Amino acid sequence: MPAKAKNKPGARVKLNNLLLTEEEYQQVADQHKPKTNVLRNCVRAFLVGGFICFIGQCIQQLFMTFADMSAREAASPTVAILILISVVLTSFGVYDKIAQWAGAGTAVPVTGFANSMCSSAIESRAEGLVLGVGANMFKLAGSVIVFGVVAAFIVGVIHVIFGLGGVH
Amino acid sequence: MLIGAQTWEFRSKPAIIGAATVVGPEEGEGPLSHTFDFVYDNLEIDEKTWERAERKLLEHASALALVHAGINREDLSFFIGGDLMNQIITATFAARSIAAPYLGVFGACSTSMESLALAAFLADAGGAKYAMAGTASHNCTVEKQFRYPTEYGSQKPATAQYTITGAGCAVVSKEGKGPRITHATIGRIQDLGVKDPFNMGAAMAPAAVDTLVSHFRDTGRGPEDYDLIVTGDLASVGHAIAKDLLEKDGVLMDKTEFNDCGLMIYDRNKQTYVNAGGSGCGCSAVVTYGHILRKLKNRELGRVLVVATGALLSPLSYQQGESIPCIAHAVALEQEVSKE
Repeated sequence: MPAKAKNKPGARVKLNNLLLTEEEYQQVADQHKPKTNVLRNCVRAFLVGGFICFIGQCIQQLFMTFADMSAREAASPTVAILILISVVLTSFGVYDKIAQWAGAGTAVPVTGFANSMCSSAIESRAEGLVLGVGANMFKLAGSVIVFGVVAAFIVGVIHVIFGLGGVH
Repeated sequence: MLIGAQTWEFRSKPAIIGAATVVGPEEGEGPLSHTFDFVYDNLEIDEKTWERAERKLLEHASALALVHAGINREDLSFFIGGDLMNQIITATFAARSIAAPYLGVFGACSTSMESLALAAFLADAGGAKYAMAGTASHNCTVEKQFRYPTEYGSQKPATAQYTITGAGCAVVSKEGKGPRITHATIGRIQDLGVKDPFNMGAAMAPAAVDTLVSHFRDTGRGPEDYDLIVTGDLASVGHAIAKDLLEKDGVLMDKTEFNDCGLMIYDRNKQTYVNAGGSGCGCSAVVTYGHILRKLKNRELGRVLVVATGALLSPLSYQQGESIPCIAHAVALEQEVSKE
């Protein structure tokens, strides 16, 4: 028998007087689903994401002013400090609470990447350093790296073939 | 004794002679906090790992339940337990120290009533003098196993439920004092194609409704025969769907008080992090063995039907795009001397 959902026993609500198929049930379920406020989420993500970038800009400016660095030189220590802040906030159990409010605002910047690694590391600590922390640290961040590398490769190939401009 | 298609009627009406509930700090902040026997002030439950914490909750609850029942560990004929962890390690490891003959069961969040129904069956049939049913869940073990690391910053939708931290145990015996177990209806798997693990209420609602309707059909009872009917942990979304479906089927749920353990355990206005409400197999266990048994003993309630619901998914199954099979088991409880 083909594994079609409709052939599953129990793929319908059958009560005394009521018979609903999967599709009909989905409609009932959707009626009771609270609406996601996309606009509010976007505004919050914009504000929080923007604020994180603003903090980054301030840190970079400090490096440039007081450590006599160029904008390019200051970039790496700036990122390192943002990562440190994110790791500290994650460790104190604050980052996930901000994220519930901010949504993509805390997920997209580099702090979100740091949070995904730090939270995985903390969570796996109980299973030891090698099988736990080492093996699981990239559980969430791993796919970002994999697809980042794949995307970079594809862009690189396009660049070579078409000789398009870019930073050298 | 089987009546109808899927309901057991317990002729001897076994009693819950002792029960205990132990919860974490967040449940202790909820409206039912006064009904729990012990509230831990830290989510770690004074342990090093989340898994140990969950086990400790169950060990603590089982020890208290034996004290409340007034029996020794050696007197216990069987311990029937389960939890949400892979290979039900919480119940199994707790059974190591409980040291009674042990049956492990898994019904996700319906494990509470699955184990209670089996304990009542054993006691009623003379298969056990004292049978203990117990379940536990911990918010962080479940987050870790089913979702993301606990500290990972992902935004949960409003339909998501919050696994409660707590354990509940009940000792059942044919003889002795306590609220009586009269019926148990064993549910069928229902799968209406819901795939979203963040909307388990919608996945589980058909199972709850099917078991409720089957219970009424088998026993000849109706909503009006119960002072309170609670679903396990459908939370706000699933409970509303269940109500809607029952209404469409012509079941008059307004003749009783129809509530949900996942809605009762938290104050959703203050504890907004719980989103749609509570879940986890500790949820219906601590609400039933705490709040509901108390009200049955105080005679504020005469007859109660607890329909515990379980979403039988695994992290693998939803990553592979499978829908969520769900189940619900109902257990009917009565105050000691029947009001009939």
